[in-house]
Amino acid sequence: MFYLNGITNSFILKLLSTSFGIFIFLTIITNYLNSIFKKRIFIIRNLYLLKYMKIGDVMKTPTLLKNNFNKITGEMPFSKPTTPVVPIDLNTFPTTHSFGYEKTFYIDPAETITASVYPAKAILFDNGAFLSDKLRDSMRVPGDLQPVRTMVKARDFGLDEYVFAYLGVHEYYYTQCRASNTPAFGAFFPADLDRTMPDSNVTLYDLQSSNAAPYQPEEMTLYPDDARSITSNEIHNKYGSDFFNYWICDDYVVNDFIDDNKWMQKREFHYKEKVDVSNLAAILWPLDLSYSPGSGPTIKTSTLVEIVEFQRQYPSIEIYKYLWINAEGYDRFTFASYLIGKDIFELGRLPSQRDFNDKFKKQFPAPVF
Amino acid sequence: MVVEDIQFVVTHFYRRSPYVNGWIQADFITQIEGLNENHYYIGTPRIRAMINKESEDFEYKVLQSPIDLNKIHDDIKNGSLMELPSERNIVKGESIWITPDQSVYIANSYDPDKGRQVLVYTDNVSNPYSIINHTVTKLLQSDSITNFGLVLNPYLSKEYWQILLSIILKNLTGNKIKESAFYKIGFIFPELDRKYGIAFTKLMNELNAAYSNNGLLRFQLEFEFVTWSIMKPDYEDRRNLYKILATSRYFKTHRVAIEVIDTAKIELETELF
Repeated sequence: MFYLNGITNSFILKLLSTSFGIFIFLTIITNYLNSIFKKRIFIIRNLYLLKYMKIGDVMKTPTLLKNNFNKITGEMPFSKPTTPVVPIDLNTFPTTHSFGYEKTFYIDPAETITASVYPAKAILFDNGAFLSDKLRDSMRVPGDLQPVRTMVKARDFGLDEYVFAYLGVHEYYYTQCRASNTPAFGAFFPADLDRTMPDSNVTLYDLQSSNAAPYQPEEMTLYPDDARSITSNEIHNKYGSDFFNYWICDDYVVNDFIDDNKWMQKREFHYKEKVDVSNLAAILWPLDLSYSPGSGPTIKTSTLVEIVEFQRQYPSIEIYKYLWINAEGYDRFTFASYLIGKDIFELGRLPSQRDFNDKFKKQFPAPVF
Repeated sequence: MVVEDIQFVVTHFYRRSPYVNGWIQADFITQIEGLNENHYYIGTPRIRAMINKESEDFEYKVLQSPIDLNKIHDDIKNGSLMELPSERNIVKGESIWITPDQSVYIANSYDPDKGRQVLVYTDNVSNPYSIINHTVTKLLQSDSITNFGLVLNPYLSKEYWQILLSIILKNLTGNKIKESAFYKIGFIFPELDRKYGIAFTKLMNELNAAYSNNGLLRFQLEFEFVTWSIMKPDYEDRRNLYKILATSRYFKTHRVAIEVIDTAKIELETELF
């Protein structure tokens, strides 16, 4: 008996030494206090959650994830189920991930010398995968002077172990964050990843968003299916049942201009560790313009070479090429992404290349080179 | 405010590595004349008319959406954003272009030959990139063989080797280095590999000189081949190298190398048939 108690005690001590164990312990205590005082006392547990709860712990707590869904749909007006409107099915809709061609940064303390790295090449060719921040950090070599992304809240919550994507149109501004400042690429992650990637999860907003400020990250964490369901309700409640109001993110109009980055207000999907490029449903590829005095404008040779190489390696991935003009970067990138989203929504499939090109050129007429 | 009357002023541009074969566009930041001096925008925000959302009210709201000042400060601090010495007007249809020697122009977005070309920035002569770029260019144009090592050795130091490597690779992939010059300048690859090891490998990958660590090996092999083939043009021994080269990804994107491969293919075909 004493021996068994020893094992039990040892197990409890080990459990309590982990953050997950402490969370469970505090939940039990909180529930006990709730039953005594007949009212909800979350103070103790929430104080703990504020400092220690990580995404890994959340994912081990199905009841918490389900409670989040129930709480959000119960308390947040935009997410409440609506009847008798037929829900918009977002279960097969891809998520979006934006990245830039080049990042430039200082490499000397005196801030006089710059160097560049090339995220698109790193993702599409070197790594063949979109990597989580944590994985990328682990691959840094001593002396690597590239600035590290901050994303303090996400790191604190453990989301640096995940690749991010959004249920909404690609956004140019996002590609500019942290000195990523040149032609914008847009990946479409297939909805299948929700189910095939282990521990896929979603936060209601980007954690830095002003919308997220009143909540703890774990209170906003959802299963992907639930997140898509909330989005479906949101489209009815907040965007007048107009999918494109939601997808194209015209929060400017609908929300009377919230001073926030629009992607931050979308569901933020997280895929554990890495997403292989071979999984992509499609990619938006900017055609970078080059000009030589006397011989006029052309598409950069290196851009074409890279596209050919990508096609060779991933023949089944649709590449939607669009002419990149920096002064119109936001519009061009967003519109290209919108065209693809529109056909997926209306036709249930990706647009044909010809269709995409025709519509894009109609919106952005360009001289023929 | 009527949209057509809005006057944009360029205040900053985002740095890019210059492209050896021509001018390339860069992002820039604008202000609007007569509006809040703390409001900055990316590019010249075209007033979007997507999905029938066009309205003056909407336009006005877009212009009330400046980018975060903290982001501007961050980007200047980390080196990606450069403030122009003086503000310049820019009109719809124009972009910022960066030339191979890092001069910055305002010119037509599609074709700088059409319309004005306004020089708004030239790289400071004290910038190490400019100095090394100038040195390498001069060396490549020179017929001398002997002074390459002497001139380039100072740039193999830890402060400058990354710049030197990026410049040489830009010239190499841009077909600015002839086979004979490649032989002369190629010594820096094994030298940098010896001195900086994994950091060198990583930068080579980032600069697209090799698609993987294995690619780096290919690159070294190819370098060996080019130098060796110039020194010892022995057909029998070259045959095996041709076979390796024919499957090399790096060489496929390298114009000098394509010529070599083409020659190799002809020779192989002659032998086989």
